[in-house]
Amino acid sequence: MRRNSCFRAASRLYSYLDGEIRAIRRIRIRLHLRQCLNCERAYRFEKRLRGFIRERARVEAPPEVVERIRRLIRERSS
Amino acid sequence: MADRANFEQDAMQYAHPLYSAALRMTRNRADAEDLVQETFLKAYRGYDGFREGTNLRAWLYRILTNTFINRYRQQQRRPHEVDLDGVEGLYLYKRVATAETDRAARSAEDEVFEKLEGSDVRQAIDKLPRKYRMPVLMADLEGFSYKEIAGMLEIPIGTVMSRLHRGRRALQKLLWHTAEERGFRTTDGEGD
Repeated sequence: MRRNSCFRAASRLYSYLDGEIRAIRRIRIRLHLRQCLNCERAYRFEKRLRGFIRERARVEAPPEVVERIRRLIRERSS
Repeated sequence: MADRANFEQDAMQYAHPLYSAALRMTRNRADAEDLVQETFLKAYRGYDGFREGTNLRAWLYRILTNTFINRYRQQQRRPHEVDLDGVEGLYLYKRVATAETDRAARSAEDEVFEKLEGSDVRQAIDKLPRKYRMPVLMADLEGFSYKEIAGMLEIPIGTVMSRLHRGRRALQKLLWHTAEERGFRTTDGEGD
């Protein structure tokens, strides 16, 4: 019984993480995560990884680029 | 209707995230700078058409994506793009979980995350072919919905999902290999 509700395919876990899953299924998954340590660990890992990637991929625009764009906009508005 | 006079004040706060996205799309600084500049100038010209109260970031991001796609119709391939075939789901997790059972005290998970630096993550993303890189950027870095991504890339939602899944798997595989190169060992002991 338990196994049937485990994530057989990672895709379901991703849809859940992405918030792209119907309410009824979302509730079912949430309940399952409370009961199943393995799936809960996988879920926590994927969530952490997502945040990590998002955080680390971020870069700042070079200040001179931002300044140049601002100048170009001001030129056009005057 | 938005007022052009407010454009700079409203929109320029998104310069950094848009540049960040442009750099991952184009994979080089010069093109990213051009792309962001063109995006903002186009957005400025079209700002009358932006409905105030709706999502400005998404509106700008859409212009960025369109500009990128139109400018670089030819998909430039890179010699080191990843092979996406045969990568299983939860790739990274499974490997970390295996390593976990092999060792005591220290968490393998923490160690993997410590080993990976920002540049590793960015390089791994850049190794994804464009077809997969774009949805991964949009979903995982920007948090857009499948529907929004489908709209921006003009592909069906099912295609967004399948490309996302494949792209994410490949990304995990790349990150795993980088962690290994950085000295992460799956077997206990003198890894470092």
